[in-house]
Amino acid sequence: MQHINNRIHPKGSIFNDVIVITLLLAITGLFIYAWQGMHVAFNGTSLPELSQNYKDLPYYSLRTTMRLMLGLLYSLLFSIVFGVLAAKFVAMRRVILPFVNFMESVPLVGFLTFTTVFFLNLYPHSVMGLEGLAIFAVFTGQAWNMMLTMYQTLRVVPHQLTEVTSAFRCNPWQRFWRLGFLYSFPGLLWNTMVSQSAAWFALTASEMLTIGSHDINLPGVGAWLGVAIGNGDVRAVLWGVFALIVNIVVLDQLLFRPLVRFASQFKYEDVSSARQPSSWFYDCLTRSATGQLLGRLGSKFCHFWLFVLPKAWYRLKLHSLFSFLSLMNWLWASLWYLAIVVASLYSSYLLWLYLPLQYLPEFPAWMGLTAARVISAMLLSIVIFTPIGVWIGLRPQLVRFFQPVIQIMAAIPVNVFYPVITVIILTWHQSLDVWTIPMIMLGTQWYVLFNVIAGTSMIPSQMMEVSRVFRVGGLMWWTKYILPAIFPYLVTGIISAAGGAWNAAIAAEVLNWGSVTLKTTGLGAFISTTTEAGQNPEAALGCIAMCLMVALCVIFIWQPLYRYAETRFKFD
Amino acid sequence: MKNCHLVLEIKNASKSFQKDRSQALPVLENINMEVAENEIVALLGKSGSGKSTLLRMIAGLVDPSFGSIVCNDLPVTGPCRDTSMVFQTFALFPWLTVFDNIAFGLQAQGLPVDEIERRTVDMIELIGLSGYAAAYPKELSGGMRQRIGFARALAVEPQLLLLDEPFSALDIYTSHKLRQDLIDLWERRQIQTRSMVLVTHDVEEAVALCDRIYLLTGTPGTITDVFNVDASRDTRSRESMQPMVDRISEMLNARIAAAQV
Repeated sequence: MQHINNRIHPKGSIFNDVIVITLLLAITGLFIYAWQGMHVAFNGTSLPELSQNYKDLPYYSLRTTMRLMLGLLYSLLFSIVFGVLAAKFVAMRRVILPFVNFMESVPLVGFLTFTTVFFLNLYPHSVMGLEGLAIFAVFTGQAWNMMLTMYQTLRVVPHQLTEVTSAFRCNPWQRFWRLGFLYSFPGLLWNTMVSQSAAWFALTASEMLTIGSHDINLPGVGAWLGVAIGNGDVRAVLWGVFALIVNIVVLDQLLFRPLVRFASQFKYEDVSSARQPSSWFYDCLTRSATGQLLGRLGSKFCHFWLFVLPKAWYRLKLHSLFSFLSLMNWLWASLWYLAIVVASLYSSYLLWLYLPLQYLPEFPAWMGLTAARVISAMLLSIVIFTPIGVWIGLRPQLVRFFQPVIQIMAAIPVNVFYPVITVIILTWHQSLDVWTIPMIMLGTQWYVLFNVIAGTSMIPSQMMEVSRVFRVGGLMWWTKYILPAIFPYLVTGIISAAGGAWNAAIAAEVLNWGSVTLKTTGLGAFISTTTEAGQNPEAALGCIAMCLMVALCVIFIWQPLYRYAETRFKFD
Repeated sequence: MKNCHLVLEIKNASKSFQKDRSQALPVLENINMEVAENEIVALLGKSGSGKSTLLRMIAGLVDPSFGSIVCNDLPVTGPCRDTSMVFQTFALFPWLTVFDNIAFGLQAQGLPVDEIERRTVDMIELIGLSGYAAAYPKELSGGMRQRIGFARALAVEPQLLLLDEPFSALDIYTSHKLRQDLIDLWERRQIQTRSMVLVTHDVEEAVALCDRIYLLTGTPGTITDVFNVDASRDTRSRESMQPMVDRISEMLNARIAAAQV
């Protein structure tokens, strides 16, 4: 965090400055513009209708991006605070981890249905309430995942490094920012990038939001797509998808690539083995005078953050109070557990009264159908995309080309492809039943492909050489060498795909195109129809059943599988 | 020379890696060396001198940019049947048992199941891993793991065994024992393999094991000196070989110092 490369590159530095200053000014200007748009008055019932004029798309993209950024910021804050709490305090961990694991399994509709009223009442006379809802949707798409990564990396900080910080008498604040945070930063960043697709999915879905009976459309790309799908307008859908892709690429180039390049210096591993990631914008920044100025400001700020701020805190003498209070840790822990138990008992009682239980007999069949679709979609993606991933992963030059492409493809939310499939189904008079599987696959395949490529290209070179020296081929090459070698990555891929797959199942079991509605039976269909009709108790019941299924999968399939992969198949 | 049949002959081999589109990075230049039957030869140099690359060229894992490498009268164009390799960090498959790791090379040759079993069991006995056949590499110590590495390489009965710093990841006592066991097997002709190329940066190790030592120094790496170790292996002791070790070490230091100026 402290040093940005201060190497001076005289060549072309003015040109770099021009690019950097132009971009920074543009970003600031757009930020202010979007900020004003977010605080427009709102009468509580309807917003001006969205135009379907493609000249308005850049503005819609801007507003959508703004929501994504704010959601990202809140997710980051959440993951740092709760990641640290969970890593440091056992009593907190025992509650936070199950809670976050549960939250991860709640489908997006579940969050939206129950928080809409809350957010609308928070800002009664401004669109900020709706914005807040969309931002919250982004948050639910990625925060849980990010927090778990933060927690996991904090737990595996190498012991020697912790000892170094103690030996040099760093206070806990410095220890966290100089070691824990930096150590987990590359992983956190990577996970954030992977979660982008969930975030975009949540964002586009929440922009097409329904409250009670009237549709309220925030200006945004997701809303544009929603309107276009409602009107059955192919051209508008294509424009919307195009805007989305441009948006994703721009964010990738201006935000994530430079960050990945910057974070590469914090990677705690053999540098020679991995290729340095590159980013033209990062290079521009480091080679420009503006960037260097920003770098110096940054290191001043770091100094303040690391050394001046804790002094003020320690002057307050609060730490002695805390260490006194921590003497009675057992008391706080028991009180905490008691409060948690009482609160969850009470809320389950309320929930029991609230839920319409007459639907229960039909649930097992619906749950079985949806689960079968999700599982077959995953199996199909594995069977089809593992060989392709291996084929690409073994060729470094292809990996270099495909990795960013797949990353961008993965970030495109699946729901934008649905109209295309709807049109196919309508044209050839197919039933939706079987077609939900490829629709769910659209979301899962990228994760499988991406992780298989990563796994194949990460196989230690000595292992590659063993397989070549002994001239392994054919079936044995697959079963004894490549499949076991990529197995942990494959499992990671399936697990990250799973969350999205359940969400996709909800969206895929009921399709709208213009005035036509395609529907199949299943839990997802139940949830989407009840949400659409504003039947909150029914939707809640559906969501809880969905959570239950996801949780069962996590406990009985994913976690054992993950542990097995970690212990048996990891290279040392 | 005990036998004139050459197992390996390298003539004028060079290697350069493509750094990017315009620049090539030369790592090896003008390499000439040969290994006869019943000979153990060392490639000695500091890290980064290109000795591992040279070994990989012999194994057929890396193609030379120029020159020729001939193994058993056949030009090396890819990994061949006559060579096998032991790796520095063992390179064992964590998902295979000791037995399956050792059988790996035999299975790849497509031999009948009972022959694979017989030869693997024999090799496990020979290398001193009896009783560990069903264990996983993770459960064993570093010395045991490298024994698996040796067993896997020897099981396919290569004419020429390539050793890529096989002892450097082990502690000094373990490596000494393993070294001794390997030489015993070789001297008593309990293994089919008659020739070896050892890559190392440990002068003492090279002197204790080898018949001839090639010094690989400079950037790009070239063979600057050749030392013959004539004393028979059972008469070599720490004391008797010390002058030779000192002489080679001095030469190596001088070469490295000269390269840095």
